[in-house]
Amino acid sequence: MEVDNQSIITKGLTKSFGSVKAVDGLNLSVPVGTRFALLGPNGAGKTTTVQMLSGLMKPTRGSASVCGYDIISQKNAVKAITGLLPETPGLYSKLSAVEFLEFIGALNRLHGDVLNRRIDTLLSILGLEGRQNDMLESYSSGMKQKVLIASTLIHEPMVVFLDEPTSRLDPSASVLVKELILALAEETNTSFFICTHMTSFAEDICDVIGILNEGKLVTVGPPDVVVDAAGARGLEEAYLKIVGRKVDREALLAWR
Amino acid sequence: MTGNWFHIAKAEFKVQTRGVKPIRTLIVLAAYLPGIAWALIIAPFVMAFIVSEILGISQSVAAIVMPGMIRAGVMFIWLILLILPLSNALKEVRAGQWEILLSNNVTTREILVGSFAGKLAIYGLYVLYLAPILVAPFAQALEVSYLGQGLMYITVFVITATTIWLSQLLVTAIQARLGASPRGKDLANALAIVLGAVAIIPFVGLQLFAPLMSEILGMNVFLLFPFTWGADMVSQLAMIFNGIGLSLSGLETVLGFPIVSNFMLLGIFSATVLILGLLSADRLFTIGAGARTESVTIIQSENLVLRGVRRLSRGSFGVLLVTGLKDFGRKAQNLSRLALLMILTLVVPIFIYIRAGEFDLTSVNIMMSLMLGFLGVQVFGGSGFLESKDQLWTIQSAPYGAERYVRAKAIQSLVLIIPVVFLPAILYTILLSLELIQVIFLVATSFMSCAGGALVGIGIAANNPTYEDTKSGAYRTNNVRGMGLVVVSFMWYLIADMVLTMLGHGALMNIIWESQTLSILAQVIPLPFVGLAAILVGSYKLSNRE
Repeated sequence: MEVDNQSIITKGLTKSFGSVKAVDGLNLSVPVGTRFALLGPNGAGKTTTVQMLSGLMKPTRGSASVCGYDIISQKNAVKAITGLLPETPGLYSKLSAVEFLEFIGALNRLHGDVLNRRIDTLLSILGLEGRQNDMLESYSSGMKQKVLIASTLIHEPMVVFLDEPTSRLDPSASVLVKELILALAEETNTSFFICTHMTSFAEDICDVIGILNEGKLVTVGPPDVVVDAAGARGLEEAYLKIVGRKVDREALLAWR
Repeated sequence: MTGNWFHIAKAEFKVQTRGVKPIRTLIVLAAYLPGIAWALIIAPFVMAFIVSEILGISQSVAAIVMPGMIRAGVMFIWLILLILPLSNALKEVRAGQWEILLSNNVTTREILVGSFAGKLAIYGLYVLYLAPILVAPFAQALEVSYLGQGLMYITVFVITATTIWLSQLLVTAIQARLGASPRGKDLANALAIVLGAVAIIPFVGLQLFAPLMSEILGMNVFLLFPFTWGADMVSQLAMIFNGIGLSLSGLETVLGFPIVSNFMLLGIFSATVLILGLLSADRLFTIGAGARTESVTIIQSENLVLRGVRRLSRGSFGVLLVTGLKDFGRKAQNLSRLALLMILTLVVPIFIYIRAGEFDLTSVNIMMSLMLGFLGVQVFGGSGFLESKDQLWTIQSAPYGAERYVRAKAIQSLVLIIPVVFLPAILYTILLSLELIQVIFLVATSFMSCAGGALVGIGIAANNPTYEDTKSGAYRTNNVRGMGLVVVSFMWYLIADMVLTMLGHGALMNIIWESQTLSILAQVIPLPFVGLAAILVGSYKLSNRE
C-alpha cells in the first residue's frame, strides 16, 4: 500500500479559510513506522493538517496521500486505515466506556467477539477495567482521554493521528501512552502523527519532528538534528528560537 | 450584601441589550419616552378606534367584559413571565459562570438579586409597550383619567416585577440543587421541557374551551391566585377613575374582594416573595461546588428491547443501533420530550372529542398527524442529534461513518416512535370505543406522520448540526425549516388540486375527496417521502468535508 515505504506524503498542501492561510504549501514525507511530531504554537495549523490528512477536511490546494491513498479522491479508504484522536473529547456522556468503544468499533464495521476482545484488552492496558461500565459523564478528563485513545486504536489503524494526546493525562498515564505508542510503532509498524505543544513528549518518543509556524513547515528532522541546527541545548529552547517567541519579564509585569 | 449584585446586574443588562451594544444605556432610556407616550396617548387612541369603530363594542359592554379580559390577560403575562424564563434559564445551567463568580467571593443572594435587577429595565420596557394593548381599550372606553391609567400601569409593573423575582428565585434554587454536573444539566433540560409544556397547555385549553375557561376565570377559586388580585386591582382602578359615572360597588360584588383587600393581598404576596428570596438564598440553597446530582451510574445488562434489536440486526450496524438507543434513552431531556409527545397524542383527540361531542376520524387524524409531524421534528431532530463538533469528527473519521450514523439515527427514531403511537391508541380504543379498523387506520397514519417528521428533523439536523445549543441561530433555522416542510407536505394536495384543475383534470382530485380514507392518506403520505429526501440530503452533507 505504501508509496516507497512512505505512510504520509504531502505536496504543497494548503488550506485557506477566507483570507487566512491555516496551512501553507506543506511538503512532507513520513516513512512507515515513524513517530512524527508536529510542533507549533496555537493557531499554527497543526489541527488543520491532521484533519486534512485524515480525510475530514478538503485542502484548498496541493495533494497528499496516506498509505498510498489519495486524501481527496479516496477519503473513505484513508479513514479505514487511520485513527484520529481529536484535541477535545467528543464522547457520548450517557454511554459507558465499553458501549462507547462498541459504538466506535461498529462505525469501523467491527462487531462480535473480535470487537469485544479488543475492547477488553485496550481497557485493561489503559487501566480502566474497574470502571468500564460506568457512564462516561462521571469520568475525569484524564480517564476520558484514555477512552478516546482506546477508540483511536480499536480498529488497528496503520496510521494514527493524535492531537495533543497527553494534555489531560497525569504523569503515569502519559508514560503509559508513550510506551503504548513505542510498542505499536516497533511491533506493528504503525505510523504515528502527533500534534503537541509538549516538547519533552515529542523529544522522548518521536524519531522525526516538524515545526509548523503560521501555516508553514519551518524545520523538519530528527530531534537532535533540529536542536543542533538551532544551536540550542534542548528541544524546548530550539522550538522557542525557531518560533521566535521570547519571554520579556518586564513586559510580563507591565499590567501591574 | 456587598456591591457585587450591582456588577452582576450590569453584566445581565449587557447580555439583555447585546443587540444595541454601542449605546445601550442611552437607547434603553430613550425607549422609555415613546413608551410613555404610547401607553398614555397613542395606545388608548388606536385601541379605542379598533374597539369602537372596527369591533363595534360600546362603553357599557366594555365595562362588563373588562374584569374577565383583564384576568385572562394578566394570567397570560404571569405564565409567560414565570414559566418561560424559568424554562429558558434551565436549558443553560451556567456552571462555568458560577465558578468564576464564586472564585470572586460572590454569594448566592448577590447572584439572585443581580440577575433580577439586570432584567428589570428590559422587562419594564416590555410592560410599557405591551400592557397598553390590554389596559388601553378599557381605559379609553371608560374614560379613565391619566392618574388612574398611571396607577393601572404601576399595578401591572408590580405584578411583572414580582413574577420575574419569583421566576429568578425558582431558577436559582433549582440550579443550585441540580448543580454543575452533566447529569444536572440533563435534568435541568428535562425540567425545562416539562415547564414549557405547562405553559402551553393553558393556551391550548383557552383555544379549545374558551367559553368554559371564561366561566372558570369568573369563579371564586381564582381568587386564590396572585395574578387575580393584581388583575382585579387594575379593573377596580379603572372603575374608580372612570369618567362616565360608573360606580365601583357593583364591580366589587362581581369580583369578590374589595380594592383594599386586593391591594393588601398583592402587597403581602410581593413582600413575602421578596423576603423569602432574600432570606432563603445562602440558607436554604447555595450555589457552590458540591456533589449534588454528580453520581456514578453503573450500566447493568441490556433490556429485552435492546437484546431484540441486537438479534434482529447482528452486524456492526446493529451495534450502532443499540448504542444509539442507549444514548437517547438515558438522557432525561429526550425522555421528557418523548413523554410530551405521548401525552399530546393522547390528549388532543380527547379534547376534540369533548369539544365536538363526537369522534370525527378525519379531523382527529389530520390534526393528530400534523401535530405528530411537528413533534417528530422537535424530538428527533432538535438538539439531540450530535453533542459536539468533536463527536462529529469522531464519526466522520470512520469510513462512511456519517452516512451510517444518520441511517442508524433514522431507524432508532422509528423504533422509538412505535410505543409513542401504540400506547395512546390502546387508550383511544377503550375511552372512545373505537372499531378495530379505525384504530389501525389511526395508528398507521400517526406512525407515518411522526416517522416522516422524525426523518425530516434528522435530515435537517444532519444538514446543519446544532449540537446541544438550543440558543443558536442554526437551531432556530432548523426548527423553522422542519416545521415548514411538515406544513408544505400536508398542504401539497391544495397545490395538486390547483395544478390539476388548471390542466383540466380536476375530476381526478374529486375522486380523492369523495373518499374519507383517500383524502386523509393524500394529506399524510407525502411527509415520509419528504423525510426520506431530507435524510438523503442530510446524510450527503454530513459526510461532505469542510
